[in-house]
Amino acid sequence: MTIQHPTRGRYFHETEPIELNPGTHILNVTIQRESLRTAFSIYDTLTRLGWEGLQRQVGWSPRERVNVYWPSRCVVERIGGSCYFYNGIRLVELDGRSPDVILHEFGHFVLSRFHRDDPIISACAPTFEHAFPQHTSLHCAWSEGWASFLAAALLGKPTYQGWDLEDPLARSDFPRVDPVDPRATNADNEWAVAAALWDLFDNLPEPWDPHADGWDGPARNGIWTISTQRGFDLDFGIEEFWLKWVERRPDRLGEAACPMYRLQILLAADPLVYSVPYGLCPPGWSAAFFQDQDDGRWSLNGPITWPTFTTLVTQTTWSTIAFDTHAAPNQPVPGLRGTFWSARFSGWLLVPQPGSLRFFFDRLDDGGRLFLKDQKVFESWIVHGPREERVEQRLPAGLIPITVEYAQGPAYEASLFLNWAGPGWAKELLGPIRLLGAGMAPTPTPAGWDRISPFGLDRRTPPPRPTGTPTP
Amino acid sequence: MVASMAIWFLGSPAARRGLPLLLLGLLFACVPGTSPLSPTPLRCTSDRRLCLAPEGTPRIGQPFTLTFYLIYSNRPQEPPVTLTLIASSSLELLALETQRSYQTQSDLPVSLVDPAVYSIRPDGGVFTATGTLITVDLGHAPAGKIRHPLFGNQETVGETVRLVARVKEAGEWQLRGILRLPVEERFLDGRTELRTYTSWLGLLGWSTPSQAYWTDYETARMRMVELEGQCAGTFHCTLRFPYDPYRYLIGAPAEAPGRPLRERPTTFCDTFDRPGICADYGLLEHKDTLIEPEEIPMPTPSSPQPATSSQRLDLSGRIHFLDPHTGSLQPVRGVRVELWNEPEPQPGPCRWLPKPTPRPTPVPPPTPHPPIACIHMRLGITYTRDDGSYSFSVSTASPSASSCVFTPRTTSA
Repeated sequence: MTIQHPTRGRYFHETEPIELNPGTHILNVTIQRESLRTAFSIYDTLTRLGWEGLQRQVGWSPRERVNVYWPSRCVVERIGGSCYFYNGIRLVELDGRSPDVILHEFGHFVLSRFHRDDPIISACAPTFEHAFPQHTSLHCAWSEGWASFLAAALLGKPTYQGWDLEDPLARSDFPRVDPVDPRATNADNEWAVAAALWDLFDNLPEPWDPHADGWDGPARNGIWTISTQRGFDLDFGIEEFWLKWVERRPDRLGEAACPMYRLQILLAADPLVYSVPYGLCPPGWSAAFFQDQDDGRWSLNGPITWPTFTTLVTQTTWSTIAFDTHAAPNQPVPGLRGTFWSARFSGWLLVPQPGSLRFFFDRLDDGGRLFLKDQKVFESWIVHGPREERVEQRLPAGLIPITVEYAQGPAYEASLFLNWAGPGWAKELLGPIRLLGAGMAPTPTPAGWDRISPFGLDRRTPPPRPTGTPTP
Repeated sequence: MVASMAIWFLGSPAARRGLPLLLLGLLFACVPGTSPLSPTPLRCTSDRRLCLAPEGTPRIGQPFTLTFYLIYSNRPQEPPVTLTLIASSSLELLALETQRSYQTQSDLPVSLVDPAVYSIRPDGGVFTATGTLITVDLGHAPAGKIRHPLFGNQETVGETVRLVARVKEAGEWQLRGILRLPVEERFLDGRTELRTYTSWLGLLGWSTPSQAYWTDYETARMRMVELEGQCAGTFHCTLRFPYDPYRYLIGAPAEAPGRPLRERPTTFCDTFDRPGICADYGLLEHKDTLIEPEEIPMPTPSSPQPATSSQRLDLSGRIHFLDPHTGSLQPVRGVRVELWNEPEPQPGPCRWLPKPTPRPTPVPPPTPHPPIACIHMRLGITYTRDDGSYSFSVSTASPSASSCVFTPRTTSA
């Protein structure tokens, strides 16, 4: 990256000449000059927050060079301002000290790596006029909204140039008719786009997230719809970028990946067939196994008395909860003794439509609990042999955090098969997302997922599924 | 791209041989033209929060109207949004049309801007003069809807403020609009910070009884940037304006009568942030140190070698810059640092070596410096680490004769 004066060339700073004798010298330099300070600040913002920020959060950043011209501007008819234009970022003088604007233009550069330059540069054509709260066009809103969102995300704050991305006025439930201007929807509004992307990105599962993400079918798949508009073909992999980004966040394990995963299924589905995805969001059940100790106070068919979840042995991911150790080997994962152990399984459940759902704890031996939205809805915390338990819950559509706790006591026989049934599907193992009505399973994972490849062939590919399948 | 190519070309040894011709060309390139600027009806800040549409011609004594289009909002718990209008004393403010409450302060020092001088401080100008200050309290959101010219006059949530003014006397006038939006920002890591986003526009004018010339700050400033570029890069000349820089930059002719708001120095080159002495209008100062290092011939086996045995020179340090955004010292990271053996091609005992002259040259007198000291040469190159630190370890033949120049470049690896 180079910061250039539009006509004077690169910015550089020269010290006063000094005489140096052989030996060791220390020369500390502080750059004070105002124009140089701004040039270095632009450089610092783009490298530290832009390139390195993406590397930290996504493990990817653009490989191509970008030139930054400052002070400069793009002028189209009467409106001038900062812009991205064919591997070049042009910043008007006043924007040179605005990290928001610098990273917004960087956001255009990033998006252009996936969509190529032309769709990004011409997104707001022919007038190139746009403003944060205004209706423009689907292309313009996507391009500008994405860029503003990326700036906010890299800066770690839900605002762009003071516009609040959490503001209800941003209308991030997507897409919906603008109450202010009934002739338009928020799909052509860059504030709404940026806010919807932020809502999917942030660590707060909000009621409108499924709306932003578009849970109700191919015709209304939310924010991602407009990324598929003319010039914004999803083939270029922006969804992979997104998925990789959110999946790397420890606080969003699995949950954030679900939206794009669902989109993938939706795109693969026949748009003429009404089908709804449901199931467990990738990467599936986050499973933690603990070794516990016998306290000698339990009795058969009595409550579990010993402390559970005491010593963490291993963590892994399972696609379903289905194990039976009545046959060897007697432990579900290596490292556990066969007796007095416990496990906690957590994940995000995608509920396709509001309704009554039944959860089956089949062959439960010994204890089991179920938490939905952090509320305990079922408990059988008893020492006993295999038995069938069930619980019925009415749930809204959308993403539901789900946790299953299991405890095994004396003897080596341990088993649990967690099934579920809901409106539209019969009892089945609660596992990876499926398509309701189409009987379709997600695409298998290719090995090359870890390479984000703008313009590449590795597209529409889900993330790797961690191995660790239990031995039934 | 053009600029960097020019640097590459002019920095090459072949280019130096054609130096006089190129210098002649640049002599004319340094003379600014005199094309007037034509005002356009709408000016907007880059964030589009603030737009300004002038109506009428601001000739002396003739009222003209300025409509400010405002798009903004913040939360009720945050300080209210304000619009500040600053007018030079050469303007008479006749009316302010707004539903909002406002305060007017007259005949007080106000901050005004000069497009010929670098300054990006949003809240301050580069000089102070007497004027009028109006502060409009905009609350937290526009009260209603407006038809905004930026969006094809479609109705949108926003607010307008209209100002009617009149130029009192011939000469310079300025009117600035500053929109301040205080926002409490909540970062993902839990920090909160009250930050004020400032959008500002400046209308710069020069009026006479028969004519009015005006443009916005950004346009005038870009004109200045373009002019600066003509006398920079590989060859430094000092740009001399044919007349008052302010009038020149806003497109007012030399003969336009009137008074400026500040006395501008006739020796204008003091304000340029480049080395060199002031020269007369159009006269070039030779300076060819700004060359691409890659194009500089490095010592080869056939190059002159030091006569003395080499000695070690270790140089280290840190480079910081004062961040204009936060005001704190930040390390300069990943930036190229170069170590040169000669500060500038000053006239001196070694000048003849890199710049042969076309006329017969007498045999150079013996020099106390070994030949390597006479070659304009880069001794080392490195990149600063994350903490801004750098270090060089070089062998030098005659360190006592060497001057070293550091050139941190904003060029990444």
